[in-house]
Amino acid sequence: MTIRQIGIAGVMFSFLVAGLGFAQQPTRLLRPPPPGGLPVIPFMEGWYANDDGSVTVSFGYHNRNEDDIIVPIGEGNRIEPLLLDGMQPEIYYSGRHTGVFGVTVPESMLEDSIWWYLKTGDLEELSVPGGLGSEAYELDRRARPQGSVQPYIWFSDDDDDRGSGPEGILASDVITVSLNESVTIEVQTEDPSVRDPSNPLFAKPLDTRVIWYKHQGPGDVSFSEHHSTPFDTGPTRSTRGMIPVADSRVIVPQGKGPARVNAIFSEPGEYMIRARLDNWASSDSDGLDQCCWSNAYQRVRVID
Amino acid sequence: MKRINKSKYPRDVVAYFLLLISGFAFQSTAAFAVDDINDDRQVTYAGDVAAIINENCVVCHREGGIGPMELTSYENVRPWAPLIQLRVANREMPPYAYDHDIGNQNLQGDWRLSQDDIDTVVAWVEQGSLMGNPEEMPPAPQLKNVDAWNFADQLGEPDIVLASVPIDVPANGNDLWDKHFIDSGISEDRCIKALQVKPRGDAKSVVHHANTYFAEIAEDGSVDRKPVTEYAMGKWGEIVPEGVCRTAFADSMIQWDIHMYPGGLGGTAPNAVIEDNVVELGIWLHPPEYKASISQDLASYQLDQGDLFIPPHGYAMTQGFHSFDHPVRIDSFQPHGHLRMNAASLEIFYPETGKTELVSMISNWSATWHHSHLFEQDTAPLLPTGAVLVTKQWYDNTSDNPNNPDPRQWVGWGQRTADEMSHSWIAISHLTEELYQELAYERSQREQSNLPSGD
Repeated sequence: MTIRQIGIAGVMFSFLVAGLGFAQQPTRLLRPPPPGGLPVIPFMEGWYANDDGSVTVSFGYHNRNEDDIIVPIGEGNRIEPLLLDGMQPEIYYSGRHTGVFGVTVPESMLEDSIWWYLKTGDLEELSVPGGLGSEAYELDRRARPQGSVQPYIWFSDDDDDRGSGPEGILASDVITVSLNESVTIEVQTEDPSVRDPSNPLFAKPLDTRVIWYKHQGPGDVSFSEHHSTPFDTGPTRSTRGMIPVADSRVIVPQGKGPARVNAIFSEPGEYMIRARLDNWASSDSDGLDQCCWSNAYQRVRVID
Repeated sequence: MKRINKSKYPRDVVAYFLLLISGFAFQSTAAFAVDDINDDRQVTYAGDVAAIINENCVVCHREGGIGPMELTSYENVRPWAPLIQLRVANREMPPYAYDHDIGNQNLQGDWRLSQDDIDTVVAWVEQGSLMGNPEEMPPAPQLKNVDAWNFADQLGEPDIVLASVPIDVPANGNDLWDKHFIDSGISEDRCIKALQVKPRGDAKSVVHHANTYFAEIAEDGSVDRKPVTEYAMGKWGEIVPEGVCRTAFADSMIQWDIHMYPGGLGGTAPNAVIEDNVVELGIWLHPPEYKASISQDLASYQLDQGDLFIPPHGYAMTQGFHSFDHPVRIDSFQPHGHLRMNAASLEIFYPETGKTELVSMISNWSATWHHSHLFEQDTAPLLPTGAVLVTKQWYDNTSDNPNNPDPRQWVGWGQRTADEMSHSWIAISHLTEELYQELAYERSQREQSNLPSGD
């Protein structure tokens, strides 16, 4: 390693973060946080002003534990007013996950107090406000400086009903499948971003990526690749070391085409699968910069 | 839910001013102890204060300047006298936050007023802010164009000026990051003498940062890049010490990485669309024959980004460490954070002695003035191999922080202005063991010669 590399890589070899007034940690840690036992932190990522006067709020979370955390929707995982409840995840993967779901607040409710409450195990309940707030958290759907926009994602049966952004699209139908039976879930995608081909980074159209997640449901979901859109096994890295990349990811060549996955469920019940489509290969698109990706949600009913 | 304006920041500044002015009525005359001013001597604007204002304030507080009010005459200074007194007495103005009573005080480009000047301004207001004898009025300052290069007086115009590709910045919405490439035009490796990044016109209030890199692009699209310089809102520039080479690499592209905040921050935030936003990089070069035995680089020293959390209505403090496997000299220190960060420090821990030295303390840090504190070459911290840099940064996510856009939110690491960061840009001169010993010996000799005789 050269001297310059040492300097640039100059990441502190140790660190300490003390959250003073961190109510759920009455002790003041003098060491890096432990790998477990920490509450999942809910984040209000920002809000979009919609043409009809409503506001869409993007929510995400950070699970600092090494293990995924399950928090069923209910008293420990609710959005108030309950009219807006229901799209939040029940599984919290380790790491930072931005814009996992969106809540659209109608204009008539903009004066209401809107909060997402999340209680991890026996730890103190954490909460974060939603709704129309500080303009410092205002998001928009305009093109980024190098042309990136939120890509389109939709289900094959709904070609005319495309989703984009964190709130994305919820499939109109519910897939019913038997326990331990594999089901194929499919989304169509298109990235309409217009980029300057004279920029050496954009000499050819960029690929996009779909990552499949369990979003809600009582049991485990095992994803396996569909032969028509195999999983990406190439080198990848998490976004700035914070947003991990799941194995169940499909590259969409040149940003247009389908992504499919096979899923098997371990328990009967009502599930929701999330497909996140991103164009983070572009230099102006990044999960922590709050653009550009889109979610699609598929309900699955698993029966005995 | 009540809508909170993002431009709360500038409006807060105005509100803060009004608050301060109204609050001033409750300040007793005992609030400002002016030990050095003889109560019998009348302090006047013409005889005492105008020179201080002209020298230290007018550069920004002028027509077209970034200061929210003009301070170019007695008539326009007088209404602001109570506020000026308070801000000066609290060392909030001029805006160079750096604790004056601890750590290394030998800085280049230090905007802070001397205690004598502070006492003079305070006494002037205490005594009624009188005009005095107009014949004692100093001549009006010769002001440079507001868009002039900061180092033009001492170094002339930059040898190279590289402009970013123009972009329109909307009046509101999500932060923007414009990353594009331009040709550097540099055909041979040269040593850099100084650097300044300068947003043009209104761009000053919307450009949060503008970093530049010497970049090489591989066929697979990956970019290998080395920092040219860093700019964040309010930064003056960088001067590379004499005898040191910071290399401008030949045949590289320049990658701009410009973070813009639609609507803007600070007292002159336009809250409007800014068309053709352009940022310029000025590079002053040494002559081609310039040789130096010390190489310098600028790098960001940062925490693991996933480890910064600030609870709603709460506080946080971060601490990070770094050491080198060779001796170094710290040439500059510039902590970086956003709206919740309010203090920072740099320390050096010497494992061999167990002692810790506080180099810099900034207890009133603000995101609108990212100063790179340039240490005077003769007293810049010298670190033996293995000494440890310790950086600390403090955050206030309560409503007591006037910059805080929303104290109800959890705040984590992120590039957006509403998110937070914890790192410092530090310019390091890399030394050989022999050179370190030589510099350390020179310093000890200098210190010996400066001691009073008999010591």
